[in-house]
Amino acid sequence: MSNLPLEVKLLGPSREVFQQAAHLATLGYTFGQWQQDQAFPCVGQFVLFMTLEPIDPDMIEAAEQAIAVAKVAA
Amino acid sequence: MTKATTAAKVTTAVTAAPAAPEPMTQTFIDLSKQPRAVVLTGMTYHVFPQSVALARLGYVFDSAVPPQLYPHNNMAILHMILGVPDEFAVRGAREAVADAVATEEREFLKSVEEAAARMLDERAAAAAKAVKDAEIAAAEAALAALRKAAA
Repeated sequence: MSNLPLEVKLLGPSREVFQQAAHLATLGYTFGQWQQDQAFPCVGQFVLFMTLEPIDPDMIEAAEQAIAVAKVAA
Repeated sequence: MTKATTAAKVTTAVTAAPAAPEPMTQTFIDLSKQPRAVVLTGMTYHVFPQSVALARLGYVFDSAVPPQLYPHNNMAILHMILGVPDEFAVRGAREAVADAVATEEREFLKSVEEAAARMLDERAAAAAKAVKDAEIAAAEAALAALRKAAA
């Protein structure tokens, strides 16, 4: 998928939009900056904005720590 | 002696030559060693990017446990499991991308049309100004000729 748009809007039930967000994440998208402060659902639906931008390396490290914690707990 | 010195220099030069670059390594993620489920808890601006990092490692949001978001204090609890997004989600994501592409193209075309219209307006205004300037110059020349004739 070349020429990916800078921003993609996902709208729908939370189960669907988060699954779609997981797929977009593998294409290089991340959650929009503004939304990270205010991720609130609409009535019965979620609106997620995904943007093409790199992830903060600290967040990658934190995700790896979360995996380590999950390994210990397992 | 001179030959020996030259040979030594050559040897040194060969030894000091930069080593061939190491072959690029590729990171493989052994999914069997990853935990099946990971729970991210914390501020939304922390857990959202973390969930993206996990998604790129092969995790998806657990459809059995919906994401819990608390807008009043910006907290979120995201349950992620190893897996791939279902076909329906992939199709939905592709449609969302296609919609975004169409929107971007529409906005681009609109901005081009607006810029073209602006340019045409500016050209028309410049042409009108040139006509008026010419009329004023002609009138001034006529006045100057009348003053000269009257003097």
